[in-house]
This record gives sequence, C-alpha cells and structure tokens, in this order.
Amino acid sequence: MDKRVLVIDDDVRLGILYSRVLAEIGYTVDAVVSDKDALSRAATGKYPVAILDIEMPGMSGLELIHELKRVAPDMKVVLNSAYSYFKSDFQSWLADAYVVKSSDLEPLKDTIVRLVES
Amino acid sequence: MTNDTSDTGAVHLQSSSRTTASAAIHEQDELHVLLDVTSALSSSSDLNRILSVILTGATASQGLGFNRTFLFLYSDNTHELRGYAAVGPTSAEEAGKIWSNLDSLRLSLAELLDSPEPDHYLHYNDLALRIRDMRIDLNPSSAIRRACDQGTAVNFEQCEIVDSVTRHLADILGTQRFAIAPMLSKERLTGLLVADNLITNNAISERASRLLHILANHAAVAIERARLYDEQLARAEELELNNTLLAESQDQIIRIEKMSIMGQLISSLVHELRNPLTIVGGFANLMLHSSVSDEQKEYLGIIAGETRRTETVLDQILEFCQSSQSDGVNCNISEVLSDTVLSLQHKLRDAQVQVTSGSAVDILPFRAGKSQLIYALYHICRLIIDEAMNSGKLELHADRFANDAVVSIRLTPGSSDDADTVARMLRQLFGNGNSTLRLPMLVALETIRFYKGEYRLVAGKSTLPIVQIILPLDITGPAEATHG
Repeated sequence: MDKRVLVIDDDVRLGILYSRVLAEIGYTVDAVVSDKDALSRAATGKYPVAILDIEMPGMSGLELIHELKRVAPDMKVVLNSAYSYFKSDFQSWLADAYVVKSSDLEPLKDTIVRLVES
Repeated sequence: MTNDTSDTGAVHLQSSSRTTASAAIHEQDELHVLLDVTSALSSSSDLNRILSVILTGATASQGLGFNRTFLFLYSDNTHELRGYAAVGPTSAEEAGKIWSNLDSLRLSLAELLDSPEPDHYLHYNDLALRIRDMRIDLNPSSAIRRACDQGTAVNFEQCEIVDSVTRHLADILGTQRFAIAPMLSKERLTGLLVADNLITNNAISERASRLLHILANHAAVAIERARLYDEQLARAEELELNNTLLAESQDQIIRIEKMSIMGQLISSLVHELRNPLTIVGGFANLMLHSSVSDEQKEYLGIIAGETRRTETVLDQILEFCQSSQSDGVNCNISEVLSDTVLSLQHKLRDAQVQVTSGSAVDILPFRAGKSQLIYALYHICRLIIDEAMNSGKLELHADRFANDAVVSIRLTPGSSDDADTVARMLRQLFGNGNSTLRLPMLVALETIRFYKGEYRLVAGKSTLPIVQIILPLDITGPAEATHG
C-alpha cells in the first residue's frame, strides 16, 4: 500500500507540520499551495488520500474537490478547515472526512489511517 | 313722551325717534352679545370649552337669556341628532339659587364666558342626563327635519307642533314652547340648539330666536374647527408614534446588521488565527514526542496546553459569530425553547440531568435571529448544569406578561445535589458585577442585553431561586400570541 498523502493548503508551514507528524506513522507527504498543482499531482494517481484546506486563494476547497474527484476518482479527500460549519454545506458531502484544524493532530492522524488502511 | 298737543306731528316725530333710538340700543346690545360670544368661541379649539361657551351664552342673562339650552349633535352614520349637553336649572328653586349667585358675582358676559363650566357638568347635570340618551330621527318628515334641511330657526312659541318627532322632543323638555336653531357649517349639519323658558315661562321673542339662530351658526363653525383640530392632533400623534417606531426599527436593523458584519469580521479574524495556532501547537506536540530534556518537555507541554486553551476560546467566539449572522427574520420564543432543549439533550446524552421545555403561549414573536437566542439560552443552561447540578431536572418555560416574554429556568436538583449549594452557585452566576464568568456565559448575557432584554433571579416556591429572562416581544409583527 502506497502511504503517500497529498496536502493542499496555501500555508507552507502547515504543510511542513503535517509532513513531520504523518512521517511519525510512516506516511510521506507532498505539499502543494495552489489548485493547479493539486490537480496535476492528483492526476498522477499516486495518492490514496489528500488533505484539502477550504479557504484558499483561487478555487476554494469546496470547488476543488469536484475537480479532484474527477481527475482522481479513487483518491480519498479529507477536508481540513478552521471552520466547523462547512460540514452542513452540501458541497462538503463529496469529501470522505471532515477534520477541523487543531493543534491536537491525533484526530487527523486517525482519519488518515482509517481511510488509507481500511 | 312730551305731551305737546299743539303739534301732533312733533309728538309723533319724538315718539318715532325714541323708538328708533331704542331699537338702535337693542341692536347695539345684540352686537355686543354676539361679539363676546364669537370672541370666546374663536379663542379655543377645545370642543368642551366651545360647548360651554355656546350654552352659557344662550342661558346667561347678559347673553340670550334663555332659562335652559340643550345641544344635540348630528350623526352622519345614523342620520339622527343625539343629546349631548345641556345647561339650566331643573326647578324654580334651583333657578333661584343659581341666578342669585350669578347676579351677586356681577360678571360681564365676556367674564362669564371666560370662566367655563367644568366638563363633567355640561354632560352630567340633571338636565343633560335627561337628553343624553335621546335620539331625534331625521329620516321621517318633521318640523325639526325641515328646519335642519332649510337651515332655519323655528320658534314653537308661535306655531303648533303637529308631527310626532317634534312632539316627542316637547315631551322630553316638558314644554311645547321652545325654539330650535340648526347648527350649520358650510351647509353641513353639525347639530341642533334647543332653548326654552320653562322656569320663568317668559315668551320667546323673535329677537331671542333670531339671536339663537346666529349663535347656532357660529357654534357650528367653532365645533367644526374643534373637530378638525382634534383630527389633526390625532393624526400628528399617530405620525409621531409611527416615526418613533420606524426610528427604533431602523436603529434595531442597523444594530443587527452591525452585529452581523462584526460577526463576519471576527469570523475572518478567527480563521486567520487558527492556522498559526495549529502550527505552533502542532510543532510543540511533535517536539514532545522527540528526544528532549525534561525541562524542555515541561516548556513544550505548556506551549501545547496554552495553544489548546486559545483554540477553545476561538471555537467559542466562532460559534457565537455564526449565530450572529442574522437570518433576517423574527423568531418565536416558544420554538427557540424547544430547539434549545434539543441541543442540550444532544450534548448531555450521558448526563444525569433531564431537560424539558414548555410554553403557556403558542407564539411569542421576538425580533432577533433565532440562532442567536438559542446560543444564549443554550450556554446559560449549559453553564448552570456544569457548575451547579450533577443530576435532577432543568425546565425552560415561556410565558407572556404584557408586552414581554418571560423565560423561566427552573431547577429541581437530584438526590446527589445539595439545594443550598445550587442556590449559591446560581447567585454567583447571575449576581451583579460578576466578572469571572466564562466567555460563552458573558456572550450569552450580553446578547440578551443587546436585544433590550434583562435577566434576574426571583424567589421560587422551593428554596431554589428561579432564573428569569425577560425579552421584549415584537408586538408590531404579524404573529399574534395565542394560548396553547
């Protein structure tokens, strides 16, 4: 099983953090900051899961998820946001999981493991 | 008269001159009377004052000198005259007392008209009460109707009463010798003046009848003016009230919009803070898992802990911000209570506290976003349960008192709780000047104050006080409160 994660967030430092945290449980992280890079990486088919921020410049996460599912239908997507209320937005239902951003990263780690290894 | 028989023509001439002079004096007196009355009428727009001037002018010895005067007002709707006011004695004895008292005052007509009768006297003296319920139907043909149609005065001293309507009036008055004068303003009937000399039994002269007619016409104009003035006053008051309500509504809308904008701003701010906090706390936690000294572990633990605490505050602010973005419609407090209980039940699934709601009134309209009110009530109840109760019941109840909704929060502690402790905690939470409240409670109480509500502790039937939240109802809205 390919334990690779695609992190899509305009904050570079968050990408670094997730990279370090997920490395602890054996995952390799590739971080991108733009929707264009995200789509081209996803299209390679190498990623079983992606962590996607919602509030981004250009295409928002809720719009981008449609495109990601189109270019990589088998890739699971975890929406990762500062807000919890997007859960009630029907566009977010396309995602496989929704994790609110927090300094406690255990829920995110558990979700990644669940989606990839189930 | 000079008895100069040597010149019959000169005698006649002198007699004629005296008659002319006498007539001129009479005319002058009449003009003075009319001048005093019309001056008094034009000095006021108050209907009762005007009626007092009319009736006093008609009955004063310095005025028209009638014993009694009655005033009927015309109703357009029913085409009838209704007894409204009257002045005059009911007996010779009473007349003697009143007139001798007035004589002793030695007032001029102007002075008399300037000291009006009290309002209640005009309408509730014995004479007024006699005609108060009287109706003169102007539909059938009658002498009264003809007088009103033609705008002419009639002196029944000099003509016979032949119709039943006029006869009925005569029966009420107790005399067949009276004069009537319709009050017309711009050919529109305002009412009828009726006057008689029942007490003294003096004949009603043509002069008196004529003056009554002139008085009636002036009275009609004055009454019309008073009515227009009252209508304008009522309209002005209504406009002022509407303006006040409009200004308050605009003010409320602006405040709500400001709050909504503020909510959006704060929401954006929170979002901007969330990422840095995640990164700081995340790296602190990461480093805690690496090989660091005990001292560094301690420091990193503090960093991670404080970051977590700050994130909790941001969560609470964000939650309030979401509820601050007004949905723009009013809410029903009864429904808010039900939704609040649902939220509490969901959160307290494992708790030993039972939460219920009830309302004495189906619809209690309130001008605020529903989610804002639910937020406030939810956090108030949540804090009460967290701080004061381990088990038992919490009941939310809404009722209406005048223009307010009163939401009562009643507690029934369980067996594991001490009632005195619960009561003390409630006083601490809702006491004045409590600056140690948690953020959600502060926000909740501030939300209530923002919408011009208030909260208080009141004595309950048991030892526990009841928390009451008073909220002003939106009584201008379409919803009507009904009892459920």
